[in-house]
Amino acid sequence: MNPLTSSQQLLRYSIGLVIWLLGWCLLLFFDAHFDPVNLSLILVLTSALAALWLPLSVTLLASVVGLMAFNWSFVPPRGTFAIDLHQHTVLLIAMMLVNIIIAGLMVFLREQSRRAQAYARAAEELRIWGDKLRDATEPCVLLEDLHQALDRLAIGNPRHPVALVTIDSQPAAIDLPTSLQRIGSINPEHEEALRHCLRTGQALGPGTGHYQELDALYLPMRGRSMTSGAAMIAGITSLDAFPALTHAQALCDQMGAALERHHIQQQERQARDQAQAQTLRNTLLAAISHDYRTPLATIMGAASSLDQQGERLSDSQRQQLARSILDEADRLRRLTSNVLQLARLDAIGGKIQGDWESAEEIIGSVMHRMRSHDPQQRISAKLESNLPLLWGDSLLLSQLLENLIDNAFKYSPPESPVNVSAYLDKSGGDKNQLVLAVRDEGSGIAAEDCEQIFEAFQRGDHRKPGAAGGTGIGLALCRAIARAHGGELEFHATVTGASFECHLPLRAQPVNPEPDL
Amino acid sequence: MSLRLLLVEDDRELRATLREALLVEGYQVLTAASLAEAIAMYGQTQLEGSATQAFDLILLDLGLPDGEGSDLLVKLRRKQSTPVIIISAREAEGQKIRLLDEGADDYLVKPFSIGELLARMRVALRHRGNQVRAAVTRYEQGELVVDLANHRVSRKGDTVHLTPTEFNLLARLVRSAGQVVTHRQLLVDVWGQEYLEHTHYLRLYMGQLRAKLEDNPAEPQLLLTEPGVGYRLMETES
Repeated sequence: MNPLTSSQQLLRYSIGLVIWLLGWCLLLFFDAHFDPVNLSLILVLTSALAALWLPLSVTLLASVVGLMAFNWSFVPPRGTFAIDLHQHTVLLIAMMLVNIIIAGLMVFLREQSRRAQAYARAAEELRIWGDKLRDATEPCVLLEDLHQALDRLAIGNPRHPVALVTIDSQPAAIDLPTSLQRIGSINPEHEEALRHCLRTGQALGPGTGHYQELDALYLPMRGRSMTSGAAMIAGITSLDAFPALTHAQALCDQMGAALERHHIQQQERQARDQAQAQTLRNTLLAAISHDYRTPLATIMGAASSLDQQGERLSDSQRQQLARSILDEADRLRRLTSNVLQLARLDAIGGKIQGDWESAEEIIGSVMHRMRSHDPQQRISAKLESNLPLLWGDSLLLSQLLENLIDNAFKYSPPESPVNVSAYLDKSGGDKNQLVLAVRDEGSGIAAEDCEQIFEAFQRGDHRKPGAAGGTGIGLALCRAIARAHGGELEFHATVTGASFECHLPLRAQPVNPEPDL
Repeated sequence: MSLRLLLVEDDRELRATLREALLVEGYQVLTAASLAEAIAMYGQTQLEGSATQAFDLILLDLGLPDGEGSDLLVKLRRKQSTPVIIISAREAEGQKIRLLDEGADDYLVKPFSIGELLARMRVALRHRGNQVRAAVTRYEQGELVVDLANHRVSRKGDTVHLTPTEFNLLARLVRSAGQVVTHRQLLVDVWGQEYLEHTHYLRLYMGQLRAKLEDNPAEPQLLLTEPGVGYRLMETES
């Protein structure tokens, strides 16, 4: 528990002294009016009050001295230690006993309450520390806080410097000198003990039951299954010098649990990334082995027909063949572009290079390009006014919209409208999202079929019917683009058709220039 | 006299196809399959500074067997303003922006259609020698008239009030009508060198301009966006 600081001690002694002085003044004041039996009660009261502030030994000493002085001053014959009456002897002995009992009780009580307070403080500190660790995305940044907390427990005494080590990566690498992250100064001897502490997950040093003869305390940061770090409090030769051992160990263990949790999360993320990379590669392979063959077959057929039968074909037939070469080449171009972007997203691990972009401009440029494939004016765009800016890659986002529009063309009857829109989704509380949506009014894709298209490409399994014509790779790319932006691609079946929505999180907006007039 | 073109492209099929198509359009086409060949055709003296230009326009591929097409662009731009259109299979926006900033007139990503190429060539040729000719001061397209000299903008006959910044931005685009102007060029020319990173200014002011000048800002016909690169003001029909 927290020993008192010297200034607190001085204050307590002063208060004790003042109480004794006051008591003595009262005795002198009432001396003329009361007999010694009554006066003695004032002495008992003074001694009891002083015991509230003074330590046990001083209280006892004070009461013995007080009693003797009382005998000298107030018990007849005055001015001597002799006692005239037997009853006064009994009185003095009784007072002595009462004083001792009261002092003992007071000190015991005080110690109790001090412990209760210390326990409450420690529990509160553990709770706050636990909250802090839970809220931290990187528990490593809180090592400095742990260092300070342990330093406080060692009362900031320079004779008890605190140091920490934690494992950066693999637990297997404990013995590599580079694998440890250090806070505070550590000499080679300390380092060896810290490593031992890390390896065994046991506390070492005085009061721990292991290596009691060490002159420092070594506390492991233990999680459920691994020890992620260790703390050292130097210059501790006995448990008395550091009574807060259990509390310090609890702080360290909380840190250990947080570090372990973080470590496991990191491993999970890596595994997920790897799995995702694998599915992307499968997707690419599926695309190359299947989706390229169909348009290439058409192009080869049409071109070889022009080459070999050219003279026997009518003008309109030649025109027709040239047209299909163009259309299929365009399909190949878009497919290639999708595959390349998927590969690029794969290569950069889904981390895009962003800039501030406006949804209006992205939709505008997409509309401009898609119009050439839209002789019947099926697409229309609708935007909410004053939409906030997006942080993202406009090329990728335009490609996402183009793929979705392409998709809508493919899966809704000719001449049915396709609507592109951008709006703010405020359903997420204070986390607004910007939504880019493409809706068609066809029979749509049944929800489970749609999920199949997504899924087929997730697995790289391309035999599903309905995933023909590169739709799958387009959707897979759309999803990858949405996720690379921290968002998600959602599919909703509407009353009139299908709706693909790309939900994008918003960032704090940049500062705009002063408006000019 | 027909216009002289230099086509630098190492792929034989594409070179032959483009050459035929351009000949049909009435251009006089010379071809080069490598950087060395292109420089030889140009003539060292020509490259290093002569008033007369050997070609009216250059179509330049980037990945050539003996070097980067962009080297020729850099050499050329030291002295001459011959329009250069980059034709490349590389789609990286970073490179696109860099080449446009280094003085390329346009950048076409392979594959492209002949129609697209011809349209870009027309624009580049129209801007040819802007440095010596009087600068463009008037832009008319559809219902929009921009008169730079008199600071007047009107739409459907009505005067449109633009703020000074909006006008400067529009004027910069008018001077390069039909051509891509990169974010960097716009930010430097309209706001100044220290505003290079403030792409969001462009988003804001282009939005305001579209709201004032376009029928349907969600589907602009005049102020076109080149995603990730810059903006292009629709070329005039004339």
